[in-house]
Amino acid sequence: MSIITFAQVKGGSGKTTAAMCTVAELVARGTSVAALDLDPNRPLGEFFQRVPELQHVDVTVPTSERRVSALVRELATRHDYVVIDLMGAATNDTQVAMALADLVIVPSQMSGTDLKCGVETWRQAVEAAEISNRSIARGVLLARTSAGAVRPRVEAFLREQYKRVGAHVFTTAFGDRAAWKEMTYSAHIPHLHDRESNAAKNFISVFEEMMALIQAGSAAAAAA
Amino acid sequence: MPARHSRPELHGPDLSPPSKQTSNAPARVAADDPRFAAAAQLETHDAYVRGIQEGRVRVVNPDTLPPRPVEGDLPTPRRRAAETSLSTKVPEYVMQQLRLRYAEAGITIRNQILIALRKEGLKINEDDIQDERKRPRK
Repeated sequence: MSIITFAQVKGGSGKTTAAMCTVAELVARGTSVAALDLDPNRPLGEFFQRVPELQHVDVTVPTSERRVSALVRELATRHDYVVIDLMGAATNDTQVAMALADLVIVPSQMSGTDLKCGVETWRQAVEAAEISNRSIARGVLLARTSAGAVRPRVEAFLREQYKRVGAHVFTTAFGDRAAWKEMTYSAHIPHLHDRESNAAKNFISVFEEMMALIQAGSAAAAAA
Repeated sequence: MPARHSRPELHGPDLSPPSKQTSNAPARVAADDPRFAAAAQLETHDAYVRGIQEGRVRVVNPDTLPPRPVEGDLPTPRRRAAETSLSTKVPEYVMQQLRLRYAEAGITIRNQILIALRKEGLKINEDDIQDERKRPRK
């Protein structure tokens, strides 16, 4: 069982889209997955209800009676994977959700604010690992990058900036495609409904990097 | 002349290796995994206040805001480990900065040091970074 947390203290970075896509890919692969939606707008449950293949996904929202850690513990006993989507801000949930995770994904677009907030989020993840005295795999996922073959100069610049602070950046970037923008309206998820499409292949590559990070993290924890 | 029946096409079986998804799935996390206790330490009112003081928390999620402890509800003792005294000398300007931070953020010098040591990788439980002076007197 793995707990995957999508975190970025800046809003609009692609957390929720990446979380939705991750849940869809886990369902496409036949695994049991639940989600914890810590965004007060509750986008996950509303979206999953519109996609027949995802209507069964257990989406939990916090209540004042139950702590986040208790909710996740309960989900973890019933599902192979738990996906946590945080609010796009530095909230009281940020480090809690990170401390619970096997993998923290930090989506980042290309702007300077995304970079600054992405670095802050990365450092919070490092601190969460120290506080919980565990190894937590983590990676920065560049989002809404050019989907073409030519990589824009700013993408290489951003990778260099993250590298400067010791952050691991996914080799695959989450490309900017109409399919992701239309997804919440069309309920058409490329990797669930058309796995041969370019958009699907792009996300499947991202997902496989995520799984490789989890496995590397598990191996490192076992060796420690 | 009767139509010649074409022989049905031969289709090879699926010889692809069996899916390893299930076997590759990481082991399930036990309900008593230490991560849950560690995360719960970050959900206390004190941890939330410290998050605000240190700038980690800038927005409050009203759904998950830890309740303010009610007098009489607090378990005793809250610090879990036995304590021993530590005396050392530091440069005066360091002490001044520690005092200034205490005045500004309300984090005791003891706790500033423990938090800094934890960032350096020492294992220090969240419960042991409590400001006991804020506890109600019995």
